Order: sequence, then C-alpha cells, then structure tokens
Amino acid sequence: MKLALHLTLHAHIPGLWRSQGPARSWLARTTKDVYLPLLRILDDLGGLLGGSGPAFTLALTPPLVAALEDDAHRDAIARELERSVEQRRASAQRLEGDPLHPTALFYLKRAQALHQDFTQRYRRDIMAALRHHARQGRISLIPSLASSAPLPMLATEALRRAELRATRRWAEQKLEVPWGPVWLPACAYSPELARELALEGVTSATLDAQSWRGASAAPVQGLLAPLRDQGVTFFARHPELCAPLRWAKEESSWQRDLGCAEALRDPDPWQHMEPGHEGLLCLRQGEDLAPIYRPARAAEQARRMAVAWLSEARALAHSTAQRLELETPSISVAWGAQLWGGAWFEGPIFLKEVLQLAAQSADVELRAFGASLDLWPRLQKAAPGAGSWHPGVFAAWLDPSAAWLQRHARRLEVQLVSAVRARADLARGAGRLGAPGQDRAAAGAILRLLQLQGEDLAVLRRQDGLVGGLAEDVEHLLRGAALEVEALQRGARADGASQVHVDLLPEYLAADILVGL
Amino acid sequence: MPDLNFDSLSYGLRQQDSVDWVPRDPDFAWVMWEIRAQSVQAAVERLGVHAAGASLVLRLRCHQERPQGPPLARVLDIPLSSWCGQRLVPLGIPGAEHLCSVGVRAMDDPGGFFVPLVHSAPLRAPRHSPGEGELEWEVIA
Repeated sequence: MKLALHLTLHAHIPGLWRSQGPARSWLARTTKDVYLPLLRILDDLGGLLGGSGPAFTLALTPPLVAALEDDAHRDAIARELERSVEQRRASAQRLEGDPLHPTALFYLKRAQALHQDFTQRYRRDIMAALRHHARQGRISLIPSLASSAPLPMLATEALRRAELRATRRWAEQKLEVPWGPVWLPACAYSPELARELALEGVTSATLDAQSWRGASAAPVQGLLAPLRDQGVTFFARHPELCAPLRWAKEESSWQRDLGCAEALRDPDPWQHMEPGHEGLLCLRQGEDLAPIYRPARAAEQARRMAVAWLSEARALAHSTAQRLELETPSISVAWGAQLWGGAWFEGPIFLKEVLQLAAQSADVELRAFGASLDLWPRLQKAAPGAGSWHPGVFAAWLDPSAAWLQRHARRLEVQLVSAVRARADLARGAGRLGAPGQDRAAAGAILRLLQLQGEDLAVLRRQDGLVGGLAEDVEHLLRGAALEVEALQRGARADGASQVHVDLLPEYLAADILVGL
Repeated sequence: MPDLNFDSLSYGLRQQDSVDWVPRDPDFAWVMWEIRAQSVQAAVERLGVHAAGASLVLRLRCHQERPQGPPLARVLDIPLSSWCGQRLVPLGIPGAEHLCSVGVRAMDDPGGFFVPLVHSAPLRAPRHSPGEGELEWEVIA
C-alpha cells in the first residue's frame, strides 16, 4: 500500500487592493519570508522532486502574480531586502560581545543570502523561477479564483460563472497553465456549485472536511479518497494533518507575540520586538524556555516535527485504509503559503524536510492536487455538503457582526446583472455587440463587488478593532460599487475600477456574465 | 450593527419586494428582506375584516421527503419589526429544503390568513451529518 500525499500551498494576497504602501510592504515581506525560501527548497531538492509528476501544488491568485511581475513592486522588494540587511548588520555590530551576537550574525547572513537570491540568482523575477520549476515538473501551478470571493456568498449564477470564466482566461493566458484544477477561496463550497463548476470546465477542487460531514451520502472511504459529483473530483482537506502550525505555535518559534493576523497586516511587525533587539526573532518558546533564539536547535526541532508529521500521516492512512479496505489512500493537506516562513519562521525547514523524506520514501508518493485520478479505478459519487475551513460552515461571513454587508452586496449584484442584461438587449436591438465604455463600467462594478466578498476582507471585518481604517475601506468599496451599478443602470459611461485590481479588468471584460442567465 | 445610508446613491428606491437568504450553518440562515409600503397596504386591504392587528411576518417552511413514513414539514412565523432588514433565522431540519416568504398575517388566525408578498428561492439547509443517499460508484476512465 502506498500513500498518495497531496500538498497544496495556497498563496492569496490579502490587502493588496488597499492603499499601495502597506500592500507593497506586505508583498516585500512575504517575498522575503516565504517565496524566496520556497524557491530555495525547490532549487535544493532539484531532481529529487518530480520523478512521478509534480511534488506539490501552489495555488496563485492574479493579484499576487501581477504584483510579483510589476517593476514597482520588485523595487519595493529589493528595498525591503536591502533594509533588512542594513538593519541586521547594525544589530550585529551593536550586539558584539552580547550572548545574542551569534543569533544576530545568523540573521545577517540570512538577510544577505536572501538579497543575493532575489537580485542575482532569480534576477528579481520570482514568477519566472516558479514557472521554471513547473516546467521541470517539480511543482504544479494552479489558479485560485481571481478575486478570492467565496462563491457561496455570491447571489447570482451569472457572477459566479463570470468569476470562473475570468479565472480561466487568466490561468490560460497569463499563468500559462491548463484549466482544470482550481483553488476555491477558504474552500467555501455549497452543493449547488458542482453543476456550475462542471459547466465552466473545472475538473477538481479541494474542500474542507466539513463538506464530507454534510455529503449527500456517507463517504465510505472517509477523507482518504475524493468524491465525484457532476464529473468534478473533490478532495478533502485533512483537518488533523493541517495542524503542524498549531504544533509550531506551541513548541517552536512561532512569532507568538505578534500573532499571525497581526504579522500579516502590520507594515512593520518588527517594531513590536523588544527594544534593542529589533530585527531579531530572539525570544523562543522551547522545552526549556530558552530565552535566546538558537537557530540550529530550532531548525533541528522543525526537522523532528517533519518526521513526526509524516509518521502521523502514514499511521493515519494505514490504519484507516486497512479498516476501509483501501488500496491507495490519499491525504490532501492545504496550507496558506504565507504562513511558511512568515508566521512560522522555521516553516520552510519543516516543508523541505517533509518533501525530502516523502520523495525518498518507498511507501509515500507526492502528488499534485488534481493530477492523480489514475490512482483510483473508481470513485464514490456523492455531493459534498456546504462548508469552508472556518468553523461553522459560513459563520465567518454570516456572523451578525460581518453579515450586514451581504444585504448591500447581494442586492447590488442582482441590480448589476439586471443592468448588464438590459444593456445587452439594447445593444442587440441596435445591431451592435456592446459599448466598450459600459463594458468597462460593468467590469469595474463586478470587480468591486467581488472585492467586497473577498475572503480576507470578510474575516477581517469582524475584527475592525484590529484593523485601522478597514471599515472606511469597506464603505468606500461599497459606495464605489453602488455608483458604478447606478451608472450602468443609467447607461452612463462610468470609468469603473480605475484603482481596483486594474490588472484583472481584461479578464472581466472578456467574461460574459450573461452566460449563467 | 453598521449600516450605510444609500439614499443619495438611489439605493432604497426599490422597484419590487425582495427576500434573499444564505445558509449560515445547518441550524441558521441569514435573511435579508425589503418590502415596499404599497405592497403591505395592498395585503392589508386583501385581509379585509381580518386586517385589524395584522402584522408583517417572515414565514419559514421546510419540507423533507423520507424513505419511509410521511414527509417532515414545519412552518415557523417570525414577526418582523421593519419593512427592510436582515437577521439570522433558525432553520427547521438540517438537510431539508426550505422556503421563506415575507407577508402580512392576520392576528386572529396564525395558521390561515397569510398574504405572501414575496418568496425566496428554495434553500437546502447544510447537514450536520451525511445524508442517506445510496452508495454509487463512478468508473474513472
């Protein structure tokens, strides 16, 4: 018996649509902490990966890819890396003779290596390096839904299918990957979506285990095999094995004083560090509560955690597979990419160790999500239930503290679809296909509405106290969308989406939102 | 709960009554409704002699066929204090199909005189546990 291990890193980009300053800072830090270490893993493991197909999957969003390919953002990344080197050099000089000096030197060398990787090894082009590894068959790149809007929150089939069509166009033309497997934001799903996914050519998606608990029939192979509905293959995200970050928080050097959410949105999380130690992750929660961060020991602990994690995956697969008489158990694990090296400093070490151990193992096979149907001669037909990776199905979006937006957003969506349909009828009557100015307005309104429904925004708006200005941002988006829908209804040529996700406009201009009507 | 004044953006100039909902979990759904004054007035007129004390209610119906025995069916009326609003409502049976209507109900006969103004699209409640569907397999080519 061989365990098929599907690892997916989903790399969305919260906050990029907001003001350019924090967004650039966020991208720069994420590139430094996550994407450069990830590329190093791929470089180091090289030929060990990809023997029987891509070893893992990276789900990318259009805004992230556009930012990584944008010169202004690349300049910001380079500046952040230079700043990091200078800051750590100053710390190392100041701490000469201090017990923290070896740690300071570790950070200095690491910062210098990252700067060199970005400017020289990868020539400032993260996407080119990722595409290279994809061409070498080491990873599989798949699209995440274009705007990160959770599909079950959208009111109309027209807009849901427009989102899928826009994502498809982007995936085929800009990400340059074949259309089929997609990443659904927050694994948010409801059973009605299977038909729409199938109609738009989606072949596979990962859902949360919640969807298995609410399936139309009992999944007789548990979480260890996909379900099929309407010709789409659905993989279950295994809840227990998605938890190494919890272990890290408890046992390793999680940036516990910052908190994951804080680290993701704070323009400069280092400012929270102890005075005099800025720029150093020097406090560590270990078995002996050692006050000084010791990189070598922390790295060794991350490797031990990787061994333990893989052993747990094996044990879980073997015991369940024997009970269910499964020949090829499959485990799907999906993690937020930005947590690996961002929130959990040693995350890349853990990930590299897991990949290396699995690639060298005779009883584990690394598989790309969506590319493993050959493993099963048959799959159970059942409709997965509603679910998301947030507790309580859709409670993250529909808690009263967050759901107030739905009435406005869904109403505007219905009005928008109606206005676009009326415009199309008028255009047909006049013997022309459409007015470019109004198409742009429609695309702008769609984008703004989808931004309103974006998963991070939905979760963050429950915590307005933590996010300065977020309520104003939401109101700004909502008013902008209302103005654009009103302009459409009046037949005005509004210049929509001038500031919001401009890179996505061509995709939405091309997506015929009337297709679902 | 924050709310936004959209009067200046033509929001609120409603052309028709509406009720929309999204399931939150197996037990609750988030309902959003907007009813015009003239619709309520027309409904009250239809109630005629029963109109005194009539009130606006959200009527939830759920229905589930069962392999054996009669189908399960429940009706729940929730009084509404506003012609335009949103709230969580309890769902009747996890996994069952639900319908929601906003209408005017006569005070003296909760089970009878109800004038619906607008109906929602059907909504299937999420399940707590897998359904009783038959085991089916699909051969993978």
